[in-house]
Amino acid sequence: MRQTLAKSLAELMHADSSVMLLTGDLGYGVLDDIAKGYPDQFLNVGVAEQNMIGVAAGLVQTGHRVICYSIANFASLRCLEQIRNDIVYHQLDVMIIAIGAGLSYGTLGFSHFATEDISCMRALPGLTVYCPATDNDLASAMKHLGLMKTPRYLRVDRETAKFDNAHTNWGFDSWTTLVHGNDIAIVTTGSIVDEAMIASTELAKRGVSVRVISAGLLAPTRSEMVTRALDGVELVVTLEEHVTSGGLGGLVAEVTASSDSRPRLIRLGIENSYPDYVGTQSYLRESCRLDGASLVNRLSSEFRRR
Amino acid sequence: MSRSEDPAVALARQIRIDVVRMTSRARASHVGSALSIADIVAVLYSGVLSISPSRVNDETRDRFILSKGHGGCAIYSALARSGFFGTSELDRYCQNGSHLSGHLSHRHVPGVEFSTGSLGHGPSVAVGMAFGARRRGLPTNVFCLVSDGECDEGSVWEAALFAGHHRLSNLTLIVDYNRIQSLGATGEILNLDPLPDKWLAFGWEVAEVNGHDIEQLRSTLTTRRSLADKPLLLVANTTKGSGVSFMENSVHWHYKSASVDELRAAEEEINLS
Repeated sequence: MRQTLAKSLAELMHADSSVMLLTGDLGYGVLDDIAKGYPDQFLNVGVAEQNMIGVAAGLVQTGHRVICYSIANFASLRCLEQIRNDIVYHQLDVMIIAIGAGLSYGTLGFSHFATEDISCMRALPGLTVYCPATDNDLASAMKHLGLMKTPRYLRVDRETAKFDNAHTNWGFDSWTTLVHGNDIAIVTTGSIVDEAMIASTELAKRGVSVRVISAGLLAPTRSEMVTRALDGVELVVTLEEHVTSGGLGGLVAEVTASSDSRPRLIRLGIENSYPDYVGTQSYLRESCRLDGASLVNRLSSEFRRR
Repeated sequence: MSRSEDPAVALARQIRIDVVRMTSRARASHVGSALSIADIVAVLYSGVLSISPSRVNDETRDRFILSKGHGGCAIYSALARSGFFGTSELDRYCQNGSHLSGHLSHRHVPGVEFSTGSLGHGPSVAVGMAFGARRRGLPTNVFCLVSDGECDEGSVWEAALFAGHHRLSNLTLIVDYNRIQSLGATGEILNLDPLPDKWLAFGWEVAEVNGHDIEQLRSTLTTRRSLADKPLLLVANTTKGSGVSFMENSVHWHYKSASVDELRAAEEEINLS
């Protein structure tokens, strides 16, 4: 994902010299070419995320368009109030790029598990929040986000989902249905869509028709967009590398609770406590029972139970 | 006022009258904080800042951020008295439906450059403005006013480090050093001294003035500095509640608002000054 991101960023900066890229001293191996190619538009503010967001606000106020780059928790939680007061309240042209979404940095430990940022960012009225699943999704989203002039938050996984069909038409304003099915809808955000794809294939063999939806846009969302995506299924499962409150699961719960046709909802994600061990992203998905095999086991019994 | 009176002196007096009235009417806090900065704000809005009501969107204008947003009533007063909006709006301060909030907000209020209220945000935005203006070759000067207690915030020092490193000579940060913060004396809660030395160590030029001396303030804020390749930190030694004797140097007037009798006494004293 990072190389796709770097390419998109370079395109944006090349097209408009007022675009400035700020980093909180991160991006080794990713931003190197940009730093060399656009030295006047690249600014390493140091390890100071609160200041980075404030500086971004000041730069916009003097005629710039700004992109801020850091690891997800540092770009969101560390400077949450600066994002709220300085960027969102003022509706400034700032794009925050949060890398290492969810359990991407699983071996780095608890501090790097980005598992609450969607909840926090979704709560800010006037902030667009997008989480791409694949390289193509990211490249497509960057074209939309690059044109916007309002605050936005882009949550980027370390690795693209393995499923990445070049022919997929990734939507920005609406969720993308990757597999059509009528019994269960699994809604995911980010690269974890791979696990839903595995489950979909396996459950199909058992006669269960699973719809797989990649939810890129997490805010702002219209109820109709969500209800249309989930139309006709009896069971909805949300799957995310994030706490189950306030994130994708929270979003779907909010919408379905007030919809007329209320499907049953299972929210899967990080629950109750943080993992106090480390591992690769795939290891942690498995240990948190967010992997494809765990989904198959859970949904086979759930669907039989109806 | 006499015909020959310094406009900044007259504006400072008017700001004091306005803020005691506004806070009294609204039963609002922070009158002591607003009185503390009345002279600084009056000097800024009487010729130091290159701004005008007809140039609120002119990208070459100077920028002023009141980072201690709780003193916002002083800015509303200065803006109204400078023609940015009608003075009758001041009567609606903190009233239901009013845009003049207890902490400074830019929405629907011409002339307010940036909304504040949570301490420690202004310096970062100001250094971003200074960096951005310099990058674009704009003649803009950026001014930011912080409280002393605000310097407890780590983000202030993140901004200080950045401004010193980038030698933002178009930036002036003013500390309203009245030595009283929310719950008591700064020296007892979290000592800031020696304040000038800290900023010097961060790569700033430092000046120190009596924050109620109009001439000293104007001279320091307008005179071209000897070392024009550094940001300027101006320590303005002030008195909390300045101009109303019974409000001076008292933490209580961080929270209290004047009763009808107290308002009358305050106005009388300010008008005699």
